[in-house]
Amino acid sequence: MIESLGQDFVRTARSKGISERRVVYRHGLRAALTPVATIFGIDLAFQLTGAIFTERLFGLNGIGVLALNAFNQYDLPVLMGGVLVGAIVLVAMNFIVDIAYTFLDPRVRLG
Amino acid sequence: MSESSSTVRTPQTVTWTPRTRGDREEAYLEVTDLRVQFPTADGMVNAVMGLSYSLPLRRTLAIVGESGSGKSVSSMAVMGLHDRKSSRISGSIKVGGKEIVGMSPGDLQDFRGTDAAMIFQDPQSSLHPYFTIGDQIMESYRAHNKASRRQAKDRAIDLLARVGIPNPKRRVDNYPHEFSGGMRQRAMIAMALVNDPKLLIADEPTTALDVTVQAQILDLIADLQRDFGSAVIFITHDLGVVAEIADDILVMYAGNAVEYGPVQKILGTPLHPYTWGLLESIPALTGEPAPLHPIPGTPPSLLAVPSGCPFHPRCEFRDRVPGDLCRTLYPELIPRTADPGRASRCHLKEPDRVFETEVLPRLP
Repeated sequence: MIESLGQDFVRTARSKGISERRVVYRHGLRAALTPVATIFGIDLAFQLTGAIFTERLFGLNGIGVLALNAFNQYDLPVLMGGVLVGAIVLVAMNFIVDIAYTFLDPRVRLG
Repeated sequence: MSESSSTVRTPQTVTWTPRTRGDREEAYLEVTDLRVQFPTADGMVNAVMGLSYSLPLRRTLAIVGESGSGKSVSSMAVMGLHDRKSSRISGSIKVGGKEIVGMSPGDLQDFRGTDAAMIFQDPQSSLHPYFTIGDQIMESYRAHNKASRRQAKDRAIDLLARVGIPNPKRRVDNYPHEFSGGMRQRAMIAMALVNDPKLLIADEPTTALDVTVQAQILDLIADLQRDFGSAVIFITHDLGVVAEIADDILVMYAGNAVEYGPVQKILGTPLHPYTWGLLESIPALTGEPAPLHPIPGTPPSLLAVPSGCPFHPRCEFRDRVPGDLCRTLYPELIPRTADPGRASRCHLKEPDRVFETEVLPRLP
């Protein structure tokens, strides 16, 4: 956000005499959100598939624990399945973030 | 070389002020003894040290200087753009009678974009990439006028047409990246003029553009000045650009004005060694290939400005002045020749003669 507010277009926005709140939110925050979207997507992917500790802690039967048990028991097919699910979720989240980018940043749109 | 002596810091008694003459005598912009300092971890940066000038409507003042001369900082101060917490500003800046130094943030917001507007160097980075040109122009208009989206959009289209953008009805919905460099700068000019500001500050508007486009933008600004009747400050480091569009020139070095006068006189017979250096360093486009003559040395750090005349470490005429004055006494900006309309901040006697006999022959 600090980096965003240091951008030239924020200085231009201030020079127009618009309210400081508008400068910070509409110009500054909006520009800072886009890189955050990428990280959010990846992070969400990891949350969905890799929360092994959480699952063990609360006794939930999730994919994380399933994969861990498979790993310990040398249960290859289940392990492969777990990894595959994880991979699909990550790719799907990346794809969703890419689509989201076309809404966030007009420079990314096609045509 | 930390020799910032007290001669630099004491307030000067202003005996002569750069005053651009206009059709009517009252100035629209009056800067008096402006000082801008930035407290930093390394010490106090003296960006502007006692700058004074005045500019009426319908006139263009070119402020020429290198990076670090204070030209941009002083103009940002005129717009009230410096952060109050990280800067110390003293002196007076009057725009249309309103005092900018010390103005409340609320009043500054009303002032910016209406009484005065600024256009910046790189239109690519100075326009928000996520909003259409139309949105950005409309934003400025609606911030200061009660207008519907439709009215504001019409106004934006009018202005885009006025600055020479073809097909304005369609292009108003384009994003900045869909414009070419010259068109982007025109769009930024349109955005600055949307509320009819009487003062336009152009901070190196053509530096980031092709030379051919530069000429178009200069013509546009001159044209708009005639129509809108505004006062224009044109900041640049390029003397060639200055010759085209300025009425007067203010040359800045190390935070203050070192020479001032009408454009023809300054370019014809400059009086300050720094200006001589600037003219000499312009490469010749014709004639024999010859080595370049840059000004020796580098601009001083604004944390430790040299004592006496800030230019003296780089000045080849320093020893012409008896009594080691250049090192000890800060020269005043006063007329140094018979012409009362131009001044120079230099101890040299008869600088016009020195220029004609020694510098002029060296110029390409």
